Amino acid sequence: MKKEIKKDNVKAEEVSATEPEVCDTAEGIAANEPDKTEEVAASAPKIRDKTEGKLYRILHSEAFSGYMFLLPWLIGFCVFVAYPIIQTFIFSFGDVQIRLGEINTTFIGFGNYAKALLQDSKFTQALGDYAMQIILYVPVITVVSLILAMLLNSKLKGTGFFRTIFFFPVIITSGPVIKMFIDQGVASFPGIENLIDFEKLAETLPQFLVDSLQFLTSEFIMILWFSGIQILVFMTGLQKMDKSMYEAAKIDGATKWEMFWKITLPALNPTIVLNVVFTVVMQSIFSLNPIINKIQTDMNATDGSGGYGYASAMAWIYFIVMLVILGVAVLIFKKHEKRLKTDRRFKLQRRAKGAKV
Amino acid sequence: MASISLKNIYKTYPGGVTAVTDFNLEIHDKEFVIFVGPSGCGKSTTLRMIAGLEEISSGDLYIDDRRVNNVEPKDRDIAMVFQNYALYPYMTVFENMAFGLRLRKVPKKEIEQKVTQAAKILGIEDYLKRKPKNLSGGQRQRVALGRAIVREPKVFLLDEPLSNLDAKMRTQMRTEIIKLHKELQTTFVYVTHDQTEAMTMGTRIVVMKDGLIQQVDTPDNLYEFPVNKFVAGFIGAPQMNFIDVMLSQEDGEESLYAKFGRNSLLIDKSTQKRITVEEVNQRQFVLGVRAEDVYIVTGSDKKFKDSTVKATVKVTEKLGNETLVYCAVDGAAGDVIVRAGARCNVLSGDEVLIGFDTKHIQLFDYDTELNVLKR
Repeated sequence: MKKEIKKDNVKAEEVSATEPEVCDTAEGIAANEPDKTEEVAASAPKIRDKTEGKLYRILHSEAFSGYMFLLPWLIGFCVFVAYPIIQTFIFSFGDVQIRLGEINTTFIGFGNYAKALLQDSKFTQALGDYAMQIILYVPVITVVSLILAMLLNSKLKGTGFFRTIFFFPVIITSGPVIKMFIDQGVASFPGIENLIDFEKLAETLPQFLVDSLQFLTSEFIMILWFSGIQILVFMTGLQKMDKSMYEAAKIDGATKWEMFWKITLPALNPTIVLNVVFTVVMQSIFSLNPIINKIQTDMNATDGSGGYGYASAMAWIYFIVMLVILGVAVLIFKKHEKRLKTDRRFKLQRRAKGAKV
Repeated sequence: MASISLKNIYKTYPGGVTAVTDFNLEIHDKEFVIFVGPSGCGKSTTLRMIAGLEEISSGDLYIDDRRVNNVEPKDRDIAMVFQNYALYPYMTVFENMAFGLRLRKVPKKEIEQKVTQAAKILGIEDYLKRKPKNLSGGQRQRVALGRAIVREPKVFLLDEPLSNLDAKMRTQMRTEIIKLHKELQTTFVYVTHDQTEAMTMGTRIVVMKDGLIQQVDTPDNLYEFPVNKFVAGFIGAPQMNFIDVMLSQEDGEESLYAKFGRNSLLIDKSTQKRITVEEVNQRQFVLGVRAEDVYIVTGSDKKFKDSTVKATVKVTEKLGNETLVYCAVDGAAGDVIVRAGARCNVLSGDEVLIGFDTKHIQLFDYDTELNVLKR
């Protein structure tokens, strides 16, 4: 007890001893400062030359050079991206008449939106198909590309050859080439539908599932074609993994299956989110996307049914739907990540600590 | 509680590269054995073969008299600590340590108890909820050790566990691992390229080079009686001084001198008696002498009167508690390093006399590089 008191006393002394010092230094600084500023002021006129000028300083600042390099892109972005986006937003609330040399916009409120969503069955149909396609495509592409990436990442012979094969479509299917391919039936796999008796399946399974299955079998080659980049992204993610982590797991007694679920998948979560977003965006801006086709044809319609205003409204609806789908996808994976963080064991351990206290 | 026995172990990689050649070693129960050697000497490969992460090309590996060549790592009852910690980044410290036990379906309460106990030993109780990325290097290594401890394995395998830590942390963890070994009373096999770690931690050290065992011995014996020039040079810092010498008998075979350049050293009688080769007169040998057995002397010093040579100081390294003096000596190919006292004031360029304590020298055969002195 006595010792403790002594210690406290010593501490108190220390504190009281240090306090005035702190005050001293603070005062010191305050006292020193005017001197310094005077010094600077005194020496300033001597160095004042052209380097002191405000304009000179701006022109020679690092930030200025940076912005100058950015400028070409900024101009392009404003003229070709930002301005059109704002313009379509304005157009979407109006009836746009384009005549030689002038654009007349009559404000009609949500008229275009109402027409697109309530009257134009073709558009809502296309939108539904799009949503359906995304919901089916994205998980399948993600899973297929993950499996392929894991196969291509293994030590099997000839993986280099197959890596090329799977990436090949990414290059050749860009632009008009893919349309030619699809028109000539390259994208379909004749006979694959016959492998499964869908009518029989329909007797036992709900129609929705059968439809999805039918859709997937008929689109299977397209799915493979669209997996090239995702495979590459997954492979990068897999190659970044620390090998000794798997060795440690092996010694800990984990099977390959457990390693995949407990180590590989959690580590790949950010990569999966990236791939999901990428797939949704790629599918949505794909040149043969039916909605984009419809928007384009309606925009140029001369019979008065479409026009720029209506096309803009459809484009904005499409954009919002896409955004919602993306948001849902990201939310799902964010939740998954959170769940990983607050694992059951974690709670258990917290409870244990509580008990100890 | 386990002994390990390695019999004629070979490791040959596809492509014909042989990493380990004819490795024979008996590791006794509760021993702390260190594999040490330069990079690429096969020490890690051998450890990985014991762990089961690397296939054994030929030979037999026994853990407690059970042949485990084809036994899965998880069934060998071993735990391994890796150089880069190899923690699972998406699990908390607790989960990292509990992972192995959970896979073994150990009851939750037992897991909890074991992890808390291990965390207490290692002083990481406060970090159990954290992810590895929020820990420092030393803390991570503790978690890796903890993961090994909770499994209560028969054998601990440690693959350069301290290499990624800074010098201060390394010294601290070194003592902690020694303490841990005493506390756990288990067999430890430890791989390192750092001879200080080897000398301070091991009960026995295995020095390896090019996949071959050079010497297996206690730290003291390795230092005093290295079997060849490689071991002599590898163990000890600064490195042992090597000088190519010609031995010559004078005074009717009474006195033996080691001659190099214009210098000659009288070999002490006790050392002379330990020479195992028959004919030494006019034969070349490599003389090895440690820096602490070379002294800066004055001309009147009688102790080294027949083994003093002239030297020119090239560089001095003040280490605080001692000074390393690098000297150029006529006839010696490299610098002769002298371990002098803390307050040695010689400067580079100075001409000094250095005396060799020939009681504590080593003599190596010029061709085979084997030590020709018996213990």
